[in-house]
Amino acid sequence: MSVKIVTDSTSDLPEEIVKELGVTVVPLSVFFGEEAYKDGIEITREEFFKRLTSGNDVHPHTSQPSVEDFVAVYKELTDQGHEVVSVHVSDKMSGTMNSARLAQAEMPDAKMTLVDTGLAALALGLVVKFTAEAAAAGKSFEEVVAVARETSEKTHCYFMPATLEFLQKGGRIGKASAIFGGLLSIKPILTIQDGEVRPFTKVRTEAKAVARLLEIATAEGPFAEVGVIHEGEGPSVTLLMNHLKALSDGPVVSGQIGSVVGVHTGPGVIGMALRKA
Amino acid sequence: MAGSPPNPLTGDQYRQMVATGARYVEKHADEINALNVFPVPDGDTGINMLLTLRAANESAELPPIGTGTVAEVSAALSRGALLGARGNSGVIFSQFMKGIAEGLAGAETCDGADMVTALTAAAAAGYQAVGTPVEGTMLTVMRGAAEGVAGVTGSNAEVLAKALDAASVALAYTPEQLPILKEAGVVDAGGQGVVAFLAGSLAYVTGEDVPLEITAPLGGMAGANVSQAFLEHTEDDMYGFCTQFVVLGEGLDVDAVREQVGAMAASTVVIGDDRTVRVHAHAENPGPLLSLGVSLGSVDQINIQNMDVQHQQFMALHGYTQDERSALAVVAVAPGDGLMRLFRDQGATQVVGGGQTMNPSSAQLLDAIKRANAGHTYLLPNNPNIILAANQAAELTGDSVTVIPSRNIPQGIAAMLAFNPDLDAEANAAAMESALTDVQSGEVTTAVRSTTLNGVSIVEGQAIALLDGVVVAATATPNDALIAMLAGAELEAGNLVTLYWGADTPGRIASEAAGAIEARFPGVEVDILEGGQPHYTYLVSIE
Repeated sequence: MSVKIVTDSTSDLPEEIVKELGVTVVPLSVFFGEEAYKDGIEITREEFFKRLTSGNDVHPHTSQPSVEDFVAVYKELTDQGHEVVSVHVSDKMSGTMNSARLAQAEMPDAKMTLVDTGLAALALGLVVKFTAEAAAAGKSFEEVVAVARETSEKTHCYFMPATLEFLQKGGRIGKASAIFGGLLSIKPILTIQDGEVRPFTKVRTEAKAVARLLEIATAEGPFAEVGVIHEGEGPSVTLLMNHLKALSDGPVVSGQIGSVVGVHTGPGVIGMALRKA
Repeated sequence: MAGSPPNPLTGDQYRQMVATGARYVEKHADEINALNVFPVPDGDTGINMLLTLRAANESAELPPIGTGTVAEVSAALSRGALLGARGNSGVIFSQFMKGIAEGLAGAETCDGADMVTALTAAAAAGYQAVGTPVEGTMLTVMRGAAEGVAGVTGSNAEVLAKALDAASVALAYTPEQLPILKEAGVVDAGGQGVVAFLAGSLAYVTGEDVPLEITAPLGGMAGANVSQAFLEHTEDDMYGFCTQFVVLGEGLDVDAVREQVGAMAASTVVIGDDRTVRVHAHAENPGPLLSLGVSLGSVDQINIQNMDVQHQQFMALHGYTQDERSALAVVAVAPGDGLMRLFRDQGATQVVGGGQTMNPSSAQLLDAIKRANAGHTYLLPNNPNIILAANQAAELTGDSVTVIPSRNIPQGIAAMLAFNPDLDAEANAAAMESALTDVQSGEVTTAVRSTTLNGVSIVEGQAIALLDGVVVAATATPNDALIAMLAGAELEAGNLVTLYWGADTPGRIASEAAGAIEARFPGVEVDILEGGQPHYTYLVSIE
C-alpha cells in the first residue's frame, strides 16, 4: 500500500516525469466543434497547435473530465489498496475539481483527499512533481497532503501570451480582463494569484516582456525548482531557460503546454513556474 | 373618430382631446421613462406625466358629461392636475394646464385662436412656476410650441399641427442646451412628454393617428450612455429627500410661498392658486418644509422619497459603485482626446487635460486627486513644465500622493503600463519610476522661428524633430524629420515605434509615415494612434 498522486492534464508535466513518479493524469477534453479529443491521448500537442493555427477550424473549447473518468481512476487505485492525493487546477479556472469532488462522493470509503492548488499549467505541474516525490520517498498520506497544500502556496507563475485573442475567447481571464479593450498594443505579463489569472505588468514589446520575466525571476529567486512554460522553441525560451538554471539547483523542467492550456493561452506563450523551498 | 374634425371644440370635446393626449403619453410612457436623465435620474417622467394627466381627467370638479363650457372643463382639468401632480415633470405639466385654463377663461368653446391663446398662456405659466428656469427642458419645448403658433390663424387642427412641429424642433434642440442630455445621448424626457401630449391632441382634432417617433434609446434605460460626467453633474442635486405636498387654505400667496421654499431647499417648484399650493423640493431635511406648509393651511398628499437611495439604485443599475474608495489610483495629465483616452484605457482613474502649452494648476491636479478617491495616488505629469505643480499638489496632500516625474507622454504611458493595482504602494512607485527609462521619446513639430540649435540650422516653418528633448533634425516635411530623428535613435529589429499623431495631422500623412518607417528600418514594428495633441505633428515613443 502506498500514496498515489492523481492530477489532471492541465499540469503539463513532461511524459517521462509522469511515468517515473507513477502519477496518474486524468485528461480534460478539447473540442473542435462537435469533435472531442482527450488531451494528450487522442490529440497530441503538435496536432492540436497545427489545427489551432490553421485558421480553418472553429475556435476550440475545453471540458473538464467526467465524474466517471475520476471514479474509474480512484476506484482502480483504491482497489489496489492505495491512498489517493488528487492535486488539481484552480477551482476558479476549471470545473475539474467539481468532477473530482463528485467522484469522491461516489466512493465514501476510499482514503483520499483533493487539493485545489489554485494554479494551472506547469505551476500545477511543479506542485504535482514535488508531491509525488514526497509520496515516493515513503511519506505518510497526511504528510503528502500537507506537502501538496504547502507547495501550492509556495509556487508562482508568470507568463506572456503572444496574443490576447485566445485568453479573451476562452474567458478564463479572471481579473486580467482589464487588459483588453485599449487601442494601444500591449504585451501583458500575467500571473496566477488567488486561483485566478491576473495582470502583473504590461509592456509594449516581446523583447521587453522577456526581459521583465528575467528581472522578476532574479528578484524572487533563488528557488527549489523552476520550469519554463512554453509552446515551441526559440531564442526567448533558451534565454529564459539559461537564466532560470542559475536560480535553482536542479534541472529546469520543460513544460510545453498541452492542448487544454493552449486553448486558453494560444500558441507562442512563454513563461515560468517558480517553486520556493 | 368618425365624421368631420370638431372645430371649434365644445367642453366635452375639449375633455376628450385632453384624454387623447393622455393616451399618447401612456402609449409612450416607457420610452419617455427611458429618456429621463434630468434633473433626477429616477426614470419615471413618463409615468409621472401620465398620472398627472389621469388626475386631471378624473378631477372631481369636472361638470357632468354633456354640460360645461370649455372654460369650466379646462379649469376643472387644471385643478385635478394640480392636486394629482407627481414629480417635477408632472408638477410643471400641471402648471401648463393651469395656464391653458387661464387662457381659455370665459370661453364657451375653443377655436384655433383660443388654442393659440391657451398654448401661449401655458408656456408663460410654466416659466413662472419654476424657481430657476432651465433651458433644454419641457419649459423650452412648451415655449417652442407657443412661439410656433404665434400669429397662426386657422382651425384647431392647423394650430396644433404647427404647435407639434415647433415643439418637436425645440425638443430635438434640447441636447444642445443641456450638455448633460448630450452626454447621455437623449432629448429631454419631459419635453418628449409634451410632444406626445400635443400629438395626441392633434390626433383627436384631426381624427387621424399621428405617428410619434421617439428618437432616443428605445426599449431600455437611457443610462447606457450616461457618463461619469453626467453623474457628477447631478450628484449635487441628488442628496436628501424629494419632498412634495399640497397646502389647502384660503388667500394663499403662491409667490411668497415660492420665495420661502426657494430659500429652504433646492430644485423647488411651487405652484397653485389662492386655495391650493403644491410644493416640490429637494431638501436634506423635509421637516421645516412641512412645518411651513402646516403654518399656511391644511397639508395634504405628502410624498417624501429618499433620493440618496434612488441615486444609489441608479448608480447600481448603471454599474457605478457609490463612492468606492480604491487603495491605489493614477492621475495623469495628457494633451488631446486620443491620449486622454489611452491613459483611461490603461487604468488611469482621472486624466487632466493639459501639456506643453496648457499646464494645469496645482488646484486642478488636487481636484483630480480628490476625485480619484484613493488611499494612495500616483501622479503622472507627463511634461517637465507640470512636474512642479504636481509636486506642489503632492505636498498639499501629505504623503498620500507620489509624483512619478514623467517628462513626456511615452514615459507616462510606460509608467502607466507598469502600474498594478494588486501590488502595494511602494512596489508600484518603484515599478513605475523604473519604467520611465524604458523608452526614448521623440517629437515632431513646426519651427516658429529661425535659429540654430544643437548644430541644426532651423528655418521658421520647417518641420523639426527632437529626440529626448534635443533638436536633431529640421526638414521640409514632418515625415522627413521623423525618419531623420529615428535614424539617430539606433533602432534594432524588434523595437517598437509608436506614433501618436496630433489634432492637426492629416491621418494620411501618419499612415505614410508608418509605411516609411517599416521600409527604412526592417524588423521594427510601428503602432500609429490618434493622440489628438495640439502643436505636435507626432509624439513618438521608441522602445
